[in-house]
Amino acid sequence: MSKVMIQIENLKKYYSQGSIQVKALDGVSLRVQEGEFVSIMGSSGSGKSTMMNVLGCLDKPTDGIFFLDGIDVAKLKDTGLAEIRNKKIGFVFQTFNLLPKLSAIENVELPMAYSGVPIKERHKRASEALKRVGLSERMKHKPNELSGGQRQRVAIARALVNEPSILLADEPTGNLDSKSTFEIIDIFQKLNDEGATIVMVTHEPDVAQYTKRIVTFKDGKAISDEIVKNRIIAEEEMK
Amino acid sequence: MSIFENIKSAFKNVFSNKMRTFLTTLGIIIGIAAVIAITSVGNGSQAQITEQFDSLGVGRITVSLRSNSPRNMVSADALTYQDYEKLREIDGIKSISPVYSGNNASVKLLNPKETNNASITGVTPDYENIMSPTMLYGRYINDSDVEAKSKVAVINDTTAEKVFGYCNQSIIGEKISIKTWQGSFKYTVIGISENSDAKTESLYENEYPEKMIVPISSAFRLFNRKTISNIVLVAEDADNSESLCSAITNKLSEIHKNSDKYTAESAAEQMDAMNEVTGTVTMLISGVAAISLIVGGIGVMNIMLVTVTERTREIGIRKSIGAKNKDIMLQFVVEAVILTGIGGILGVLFGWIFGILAGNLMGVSSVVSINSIIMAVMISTAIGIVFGVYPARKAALLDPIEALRYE
Ligand SMILES: Nc1ncnc2c1ncn2[C@@H]1O[C@H](COP(=O)(O)OP(=O)(O)OP(=O)(O)O)[C@@H](O)[C@H]1O
Ligand SMILES: [Mg+2]
Repeated sequence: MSKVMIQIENLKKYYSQGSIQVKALDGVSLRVQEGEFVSIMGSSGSGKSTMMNVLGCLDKPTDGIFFLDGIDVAKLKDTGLAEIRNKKIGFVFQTFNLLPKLSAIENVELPMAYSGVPIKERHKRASEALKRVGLSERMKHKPNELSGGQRQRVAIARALVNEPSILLADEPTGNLDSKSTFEIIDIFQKLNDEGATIVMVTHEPDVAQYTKRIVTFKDGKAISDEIVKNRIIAEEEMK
Repeated sequence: MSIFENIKSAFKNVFSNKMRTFLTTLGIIIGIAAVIAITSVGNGSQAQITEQFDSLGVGRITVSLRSNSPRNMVSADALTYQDYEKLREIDGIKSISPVYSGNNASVKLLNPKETNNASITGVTPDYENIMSPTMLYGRYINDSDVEAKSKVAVINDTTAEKVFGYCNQSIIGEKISIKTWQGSFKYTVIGISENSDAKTESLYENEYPEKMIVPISSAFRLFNRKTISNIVLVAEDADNSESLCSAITNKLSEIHKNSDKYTAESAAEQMDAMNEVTGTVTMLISGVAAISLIVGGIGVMNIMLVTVTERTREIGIRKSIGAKNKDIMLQFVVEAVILTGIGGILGVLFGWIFGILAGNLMGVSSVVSINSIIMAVMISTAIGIVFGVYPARKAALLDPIEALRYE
C-alpha cells in the first residue's frame, strides 16, 4: 500500500450571503494516494476551486476531516498552515499569480526565501527547477516579458522548488492556447512519472484524459470517481 | 527571509516611486531638519555664550542699582565712589573696580579725525584684572593716573583704526579730543587693547560707539558727576560668589539706609539666565518639530495603508507560497522604517544646511553633533516602527484567499 497523501472526509464549506447559505462544499470525501494524477471536473460553481483552496490550506473548511501527508490540518493555526503551504504544497493558479516586479528566477526563489534556504542554494535550485520546465533561457525575464505558457511554467517551477508532497493546480491551462496546454500537461505527466502527486482542476474533458483518475463534482458533492482507461501521453501526441 | 533581504526589497519598492516617497516623508524631513538646525545653531550659540562668559571670568560680579534709570542715577540711592571704597573692605574680593559709563550721545570724538559717538568708561586699575584685556601696545590705567585725574585713555584696536586710520605703536602718546557738554578735552592715548567683541561689532559696523577707557577720576571731571554706574568685582573663590553677593547688597543697603535697591549678579547667573532663554526657544521649536514628526508619521501610516491595499494581491501570493504573518509584518514595517529613515537622512542634510545658513545670519557657528545625528536617526526609525506597525499588522492578518481574490 502506498502512502495516503490527501484524506478528506465529509468536508463542508458554507458561505453565508445575507440570509441565504451557499453550500460550496457539501460533504466531500476523497482519498489521494502518493503518485496519483487526479483531475477534478464539474460545471461552473460546483465547488472545485473551493475544494482546491481548502486542500491548499489557503481556505479553512467549515467542517470535516482533512489530513495532508498524515498531518491533521484542521488543528493548525496561521503559522502552521503557512509552513504547510511552504513545504508540503505546490499551488498552480489559473492566473499564474507571479509577482510582476520580480524576474522569473526571483519568483521561483521566493518560496525558499520563506523556508530559510541559503541564498546561494536558492539560486541553484531555482535554476534547476526552471530547467525542468524548459525555461533556462528566460530566467532573467519579468513576467510581462513572457507568454502565458511561459508564465505558467515559471509558476510550476515555483510550485516544485520546495519539493512539495503534492502539486495542486486549479485550471492551470484555463488561460492558455492548445499548444501551451499540451506543454503544461506534458510537464505534469513527466513530474507525475517522477513520483509527484498531482490534483488538477479542469473544464476540458480532453485534458482530463491525460490524467489517471477523474473525480466529478456537482453542487458541492463528488458525484463520480473513475479511473482513466486509455490514458493519453502528451509527449507522444506532440510528435 | 532575512532582514537584509527585506531591506533590499523595501528599498526597491520605495525607490520605484520617488515622488511619492519624497512627499510622504516631507513631514519627517521637515521635523528632523528643524531639530537638527535648531540643535546645531543652539549648540553653536551655547558654545559662544559660554566662551564669552569664560573670557570674562565666571566669578565676575556686577553690582548695580536695581532700576538704573537716569533719575535714579542722581538720587540718594545712586552708587558712589565712596560705596566702592567701602565695598573694597569686604573679605573674599580679589579685584574690584567702580565703573562710570559715559554712554552719552553728547560725547564726541573730534580730533584727529571726526568720528561718531564715543562710549567712555571710567575705571580704576583693577578693571584690567577683572576684564583681562589683551594689551596690544602701551599700558593700562594705573593708580597715579587715577590720583592725578590724568587725561589719559586706553582705546581698542577697532577705535584706533576708525580714529587714526591705522593701529600701531606710534599711536601711543597721540592725543584724542573729546567733546562733552562741558567742553573739549585732549586725552593722550596710553594703551591699545584688543577688541574682544570685534566679531559681533563688525556686523553693525557704524552703530557701535568708539570705546575708550579712562581713569574714573577723569571720567567724573569729564561728565561732572560723582555717582557711578556700577561696580564690578571678581571673587577670590567663584564658589563663594553667592554669599559675597548678599554681603555686598546688605552692605550697600546699610550705607544708603534703604532695602532691596541693589543687585549683585555673577556672570554665572547671567549665563544661566541666558541659557534659560535659549533653552526655552529650543523647547518651543522642538515642540513644533515634534508635531511635524507626528504629522509626518501619520502621513507615512496613511501611505503604508494605501500600499497595503494596492499590494493586497502580492500579499496573497506571498502567503500562498508560505509567507508567515510575521514575514509580511516584517516586510511592511521595514518598508515604513526605510521610508522614515530616508526622511531622517534627508532631514539631517537639510537641517545641516539650514543650520549653517541660519548660523551665518545670526553670527554664530552652527555645530552638528554626532549625538544629534544619532538622535535623528533613532527618532525617524522609531516613527517608522510606531506608525508602520498598524498597516503592517493589517497586511499580515489578511486572509490568504481573500487577498488572492482581490482585484
Ligand atoms: N467567497 C465566497 N463567498 C460566497 N460564495 C462563494 C465564495 N466563493 C465561492 N462561492 C460560491 O461557492 C460555489 C462554488 O464556487 P467555486 O469557485 O468553488 O466553483 P468552481 O467549481 O470552481 O467554478 P468554476 O468552474 O466556475 O471555477 C459557487 O456557488 C460560488 O458562488
Ligand atoms: Mg474555479
